[in-house]
Amino acid sequence: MYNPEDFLPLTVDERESSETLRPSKTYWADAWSRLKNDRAAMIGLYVILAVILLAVFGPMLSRYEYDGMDFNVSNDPPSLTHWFGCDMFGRDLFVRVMYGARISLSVGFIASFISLAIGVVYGGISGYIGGRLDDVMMRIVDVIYSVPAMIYVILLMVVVGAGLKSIFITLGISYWAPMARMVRAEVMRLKNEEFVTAARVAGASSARILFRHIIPNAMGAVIVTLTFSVPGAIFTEAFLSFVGLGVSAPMASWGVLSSDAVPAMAIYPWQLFFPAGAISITILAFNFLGDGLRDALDPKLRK
Amino acid sequence: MSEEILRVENLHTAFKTSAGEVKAVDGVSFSVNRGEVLGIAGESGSGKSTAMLSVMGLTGENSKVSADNISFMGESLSSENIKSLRGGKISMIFQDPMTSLNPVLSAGYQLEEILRRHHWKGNVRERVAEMMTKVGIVPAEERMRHYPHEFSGGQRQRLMIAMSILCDPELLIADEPTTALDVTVQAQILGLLREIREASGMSMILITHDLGVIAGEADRVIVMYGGRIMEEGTAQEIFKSPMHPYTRGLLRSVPKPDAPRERLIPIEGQPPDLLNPPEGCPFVKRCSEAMKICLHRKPEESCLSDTHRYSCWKREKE
Amino acid sequence: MMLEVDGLTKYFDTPSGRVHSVDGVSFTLEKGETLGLVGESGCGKSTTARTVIRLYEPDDGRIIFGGHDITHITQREMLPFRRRMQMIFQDPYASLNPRMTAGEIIREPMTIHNIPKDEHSDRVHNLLHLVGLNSEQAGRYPHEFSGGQRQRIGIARALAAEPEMIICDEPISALDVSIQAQIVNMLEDLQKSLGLTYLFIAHDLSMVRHISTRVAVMYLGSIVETAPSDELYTRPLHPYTVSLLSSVPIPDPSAKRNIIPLKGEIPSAINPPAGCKFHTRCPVAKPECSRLSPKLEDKGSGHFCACPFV
Repeated sequence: MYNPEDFLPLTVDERESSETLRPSKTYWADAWSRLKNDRAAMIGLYVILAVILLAVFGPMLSRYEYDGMDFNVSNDPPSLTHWFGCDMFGRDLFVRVMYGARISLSVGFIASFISLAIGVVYGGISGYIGGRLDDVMMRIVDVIYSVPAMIYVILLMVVVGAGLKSIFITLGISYWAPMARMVRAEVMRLKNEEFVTAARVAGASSARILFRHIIPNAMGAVIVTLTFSVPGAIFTEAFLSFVGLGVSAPMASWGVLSSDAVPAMAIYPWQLFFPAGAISITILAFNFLGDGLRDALDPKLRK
Repeated sequence: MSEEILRVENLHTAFKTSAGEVKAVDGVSFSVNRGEVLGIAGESGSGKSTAMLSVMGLTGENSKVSADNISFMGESLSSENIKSLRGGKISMIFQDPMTSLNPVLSAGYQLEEILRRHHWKGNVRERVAEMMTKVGIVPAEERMRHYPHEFSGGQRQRLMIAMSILCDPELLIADEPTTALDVTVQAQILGLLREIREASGMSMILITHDLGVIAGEADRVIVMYGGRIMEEGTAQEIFKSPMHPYTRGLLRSVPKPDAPRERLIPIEGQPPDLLNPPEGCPFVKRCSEAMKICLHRKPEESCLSDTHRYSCWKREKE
Repeated sequence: MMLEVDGLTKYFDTPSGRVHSVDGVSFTLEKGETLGLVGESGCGKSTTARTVIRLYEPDDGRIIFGGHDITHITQREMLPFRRRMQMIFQDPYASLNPRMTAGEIIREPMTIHNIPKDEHSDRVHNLLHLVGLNSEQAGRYPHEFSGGQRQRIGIARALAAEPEMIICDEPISALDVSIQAQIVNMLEDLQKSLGLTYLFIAHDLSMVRHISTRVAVMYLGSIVETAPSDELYTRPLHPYTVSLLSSVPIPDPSAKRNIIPLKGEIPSAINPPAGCKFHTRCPVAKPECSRLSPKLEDKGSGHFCACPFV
């Protein structure tokens, strides 16, 4: 049953050919393959992409204008011609909700990117230099964090008036604080990592260490925080508009639409249902995606 | 022949991972006799810890354990009855004692809890104090009130040992008990374990990568690689007349006690990829004596004596 | 003379008090030799090395490297010395940046020390071969390598700046037994071919004996004994060294061992014992040991010991 040839020594070639190499994968490719297996996160991602596409192209393709009034159809329920129905001025709610998505999403993204820019630089410096400077910088963050967004808006309304501009400024001022805290914590952890010590031994400058070694390794956590901060900003905008401190008619953000619908809620419930549903679905989608990203980017799960 | 305490036949353990199934333990059989120390030597990924965790039913949800037979003192072990034995008649100590100690509960409370769980008949508090004194944590009455972080690394390991011998176990499984400790503390801990064994006649399975510790403590030795047993024998057989190329390679790769400056002979290559194990012998890629058959067929076991067996195709040729 | 360390002291202020990590350590390192630095965790061996390479600011003493006093020079002035003095780390997982490829990791010191760009690729290629890897692996990320291979990348990075001296901070402790020998042999080969000087820190005493020309034993921040490797292991003098060596497990089941156990635990470095720091645990301590502060004394044949009673 044994062949004498079986007992010949292994040649170099046979030894090497038995060597199997797994294909090289970068960190991001690896994270993406993990994210793809997370059904909730992928649903979230598709929903977000759909909302973005509708926000950008939806109003262009519709035959109605967001501010086009038609009193013949005022307060009409959802129908084939007006999918989401109409408001009291006969404006098509479907196009208004899509138009509202533009404002809500741009508020969410712009506020998040402002927080990204300020938060990463601020938290990075605070965490990397540390000591007394860190103490002072973090107390400033505490103060900013502890003042409610409402106060900023009310104060800003006095200076620049209500509207989109004051919302952007408000969110810009208050939203970077949690990002800065998170980045600082990441930097504090990473700067004591052995590979940073190795870079220092090699003679790397502080800037090199911060931008080549620390920040790239903090990006995973930054992206997760960013994903969670977008729905926060969308919700804050909706809330501010709802209480009348945000954009005002005929501009349509989801908050304004909800606010307008509340008085007639009992009679025309769809006027509230659709914008409120859009807020909920979008926020839920971002949270699903954020959860998935956190799992996919968590280096502790890597092996 | 002395009485068998633990018998394991044809144990397989596999883990499901996102990248595929990992066969951590692949057909392992062994037994432990009363009063003896069985050393399990192997490197990371050899399956030595997983094999013991499988026996204890501690491998977790994403694992699949199967065996022809696992019996403890003549009684077949199931996932049910192992629970009542764990921490009682069979106990375990680990490399990092902190993972087994709850940081927010006092040491004494945690030890008393174990006795209560195993329905200890007698004064629980006295028993804990007695065991803590035995492992050298004194004054026991005072130290019982301390929390895990108030003990040094060596003391925590002593505390773990006290914890593991509370219920007079028949078998102690020590998984790298001294790896994280300095050599002088290691000597203390190994000495303590020896004293306890001599007094109680308890058996011990000592899992470690340190060949020196194995040589000093074990009566019999199992050498594992890639989830399989490569060689098994008495300590004398393994260290004086090793047969398997892996065992020989391991012994050549540490400095010789009598010729410490002599150049080392390493085992070339890298540890096996558990996701892609070779069809044949797991060691084939690193073996200097590998033959064509080793690539495709798992070697059968050959016995040299009642105690000495090894798995290698090399003997077929001789 | 490659390195001269004289009375080096480094302490850290913590909420519970001042930790005297390194307390008046002196040693010299000749070109091409290997000095093994051994001792138990917390004895200050690693802090000594990291202070020598100026990762920590020394609090007292002098560091003379290649004839230059580098004790208090600025980090900018230190740059040319960083090229000549490199380090290999213990943990091959933590010491490589997970977002950089092996090639980028090895190339970084070349960029920092302004080695002409057009030479980089060739050098990376040569270094990978020197440490037993192949150039195709340059594009791979650390997590795709095994522990031993990562340590090789770490060594290639240390060699990239063409140093004269390398501090090896527990370079084999995290590796499997069968891989340790590969790395130790490679370090020995590199030393021969490149004329390197090593400061080798480890707690595996038999490996230290194997690789070192001389060995220094540290206890609670001070060197208690130093001697040529074989001399120290065959004729240890200091009671601490004797006890330490007796505790080393021997891979031979019939070896006769006579372990001389140490009493108690290592004292806190915040309140080290007065007099000889070892007297609280010394098996042969005398009453006067709590008053004497023994210095290293010449005991002949290159053997120095900080105990007046041996």
